[in-house]
Amino acid sequence: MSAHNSRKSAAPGVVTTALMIAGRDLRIELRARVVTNQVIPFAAVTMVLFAFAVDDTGLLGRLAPGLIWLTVMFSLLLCAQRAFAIESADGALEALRVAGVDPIGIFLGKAMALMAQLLALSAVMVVAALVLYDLSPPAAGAVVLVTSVICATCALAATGTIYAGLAAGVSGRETLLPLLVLPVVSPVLIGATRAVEAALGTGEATVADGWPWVGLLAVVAVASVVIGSLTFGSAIQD
Amino acid sequence: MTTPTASRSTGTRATRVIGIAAIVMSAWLWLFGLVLSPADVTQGDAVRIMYVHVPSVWLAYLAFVVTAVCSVWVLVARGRVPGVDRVAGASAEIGVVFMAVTLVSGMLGGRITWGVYWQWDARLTTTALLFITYVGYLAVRGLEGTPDQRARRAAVVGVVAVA
Repeated sequence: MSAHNSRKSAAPGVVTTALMIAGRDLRIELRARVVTNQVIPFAAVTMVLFAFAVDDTGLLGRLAPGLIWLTVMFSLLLCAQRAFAIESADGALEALRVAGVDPIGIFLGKAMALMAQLLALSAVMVVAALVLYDLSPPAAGAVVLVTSVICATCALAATGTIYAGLAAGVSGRETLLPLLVLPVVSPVLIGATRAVEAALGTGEATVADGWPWVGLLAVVAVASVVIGSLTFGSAIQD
Repeated sequence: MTTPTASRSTGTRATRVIGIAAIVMSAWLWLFGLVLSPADVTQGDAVRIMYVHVPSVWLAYLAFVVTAVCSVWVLVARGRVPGVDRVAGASAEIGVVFMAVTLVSGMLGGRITWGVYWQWDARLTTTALLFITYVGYLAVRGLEGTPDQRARRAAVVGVVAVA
């Protein structure tokens, strides 16, 4: 009885579990450098290809926020795929589940690690857009820019984690994941594009016009985290 | 049927009555929709597209609501309700078919009344996204795995799709 109790008290809480899993995922990324060496270059090439396709600097500047987020969304598919490839390769996810690790903790941890990677990616993409697409954003837009990027990457990471976890280890997941993820994250694309448009001053919108869109992004982010926490256990169960 | 002993058809008296009623009602609708009702004053014969378009979109939304409710049920019951899961799947199939009918008939009607096949307004766009989402839902149902696993995965997609 006492052994049982001590084991129970030793079980980490949801937050601790999430931080441990996020830390482990980021450590794997630091060692393997898949996002750094493969996904970020892919995203950069996509930004350059957009420039080839549009071939008009003025138009590119106006399209820049949308192109940034399209690139981040395509990269999300790769990162989410990768996040669960490292789980299913050695049956790690199954081991976590069998060990009785709280699925909410797993979900939050995976989503946090994915969000950290997407944040880094978005930062690189914004800088790439500033350089490649010849933008001169107002300094006042920085706060809107940063908060919208944080909210949008949170929503994208949560949604990507739900679906990638669902399809982990199933054959045909590479082609299924885009079909599942892209329609669901389309509100994020719309909100994030409008908010960044306001922040970078590429459209007619002023910086203050960005805040309602940031609010929308925050609502979507909270909703996807809550839904993910509630459903992830069912998604990964055998 | 998979087993040789069960050579009976899957129909029951109820399904046969419903089937005959559906055929009779369809004939009745064709008669009224295409022959007996007059053409619209402004839209002309194009108004007959609405007789298909509006009921099919309502049916599609109803089907998706049924899928969503059943998906929540499966998740709350932790996947031990195969009957509910089958209703969710069947309902999604019906919804996808009628959503496709809605989109095609809407595009044809839109071309005649507005002059364009597609308009980027919120209602059309969300309807199209909903259609794609449920195509994805059916794809998830087609994944490998045990029926229980399939039920739970599909239910997660059914819930997330609505939210």
